Amino acid sequence: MAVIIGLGNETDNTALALATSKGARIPNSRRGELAPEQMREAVRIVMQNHAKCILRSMSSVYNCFGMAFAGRRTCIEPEHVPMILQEGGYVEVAQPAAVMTGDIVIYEYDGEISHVAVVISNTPDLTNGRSNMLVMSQWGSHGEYLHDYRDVHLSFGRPVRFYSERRGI
Amino acid sequence: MTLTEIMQSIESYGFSSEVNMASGTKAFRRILRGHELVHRLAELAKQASVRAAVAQRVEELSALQIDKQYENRFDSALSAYLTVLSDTSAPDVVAKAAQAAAKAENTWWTVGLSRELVTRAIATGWSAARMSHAHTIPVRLASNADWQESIQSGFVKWMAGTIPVTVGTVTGAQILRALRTAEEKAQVPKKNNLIVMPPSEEGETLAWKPGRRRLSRHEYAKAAAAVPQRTRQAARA
Repeated sequence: MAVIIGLGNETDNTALALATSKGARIPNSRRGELAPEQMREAVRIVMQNHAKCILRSMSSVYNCFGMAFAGRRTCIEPEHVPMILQEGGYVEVAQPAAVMTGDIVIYEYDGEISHVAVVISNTPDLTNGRSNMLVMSQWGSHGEYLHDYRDVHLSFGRPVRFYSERRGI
Repeated sequence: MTLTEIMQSIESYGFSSEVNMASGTKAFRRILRGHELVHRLAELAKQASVRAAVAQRVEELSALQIDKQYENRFDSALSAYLTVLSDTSAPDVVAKAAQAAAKAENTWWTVGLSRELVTRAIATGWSAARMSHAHTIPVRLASNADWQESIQSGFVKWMAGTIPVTVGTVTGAQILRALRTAEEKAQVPKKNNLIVMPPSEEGETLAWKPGRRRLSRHEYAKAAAAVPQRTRQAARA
């Protein structure tokens, strides 16, 4: 894919001065809000296809990566996520059962990072030995939802790894 | 579906909502290219009249007044049209449409796509579309600033249209060549933002200053003499 010269870097006036805990700059760009009627239609489409999702907030200023790594203030492209995880001191949590509130779930589509969600709760499903994991994530520009970690839009792919910034684990 | 129905659907909130589910640029373009309406439009765009209608619609949508509090509601539609045009139309048509779309306000996906298409058009010599309104070279290019950074900064400002008209007759391709040469040779005087290019493959020497006409041989010689000795030595080396 072609690189857009300068987009998201320090010369982009829509970018925030954002860095990892080790000081590496995180390219980003703030998006505008969708018009209310456009947002309502977007939410309607999400809820129509994912009835169990719970709408938490309606904003399009940030994407899922901006929600997880930038305090809901800006958009971050997925190709920067490996750097953020590495420079931000995240460690992989190998077992779903060990995932805790506040950890993150990384999704991939066709081998590439496509989505991220923040874990709200993780309880065992005693009927099948799997995890009942409730997560929170921003769906494109269509608002933020609480949902089961497997119940996501097709374009997000599937959950592949869990990470935590917890220290001493 | 008729062309009108397809275009109405592409400009609807429904289409925008479906493609705006993307978390990033790559996903957006994948969803866009995979959308049935875009496929149908691309199929129809094999006809020249349809391509002309799509290009015309890009210009119309780009010029619409929008509520500046919010994102441009035609952002996704403009991106869809540019995508179809870039796949089906001649480079000059794509460049013209992309340039129109780049002026649309408060777009998110379209601004990146149109920048790419315009840049590609310039880089490949398809600069027939008017692009003199915002061409200039940043002053920093003439100092000892970091070349790569200066060029990036210049492009960003140029694309964003934040710099006033100063170029005159210099084309985008010439600017690009000058920027590349400046980057490679650092053969630029310090005093102002005059760009002095070494002889081209055709043996032509070009000196250019934003806002001025092309320099005469005498003026060029004078400007070249102003280049610090060590800079010229470095360039020769």
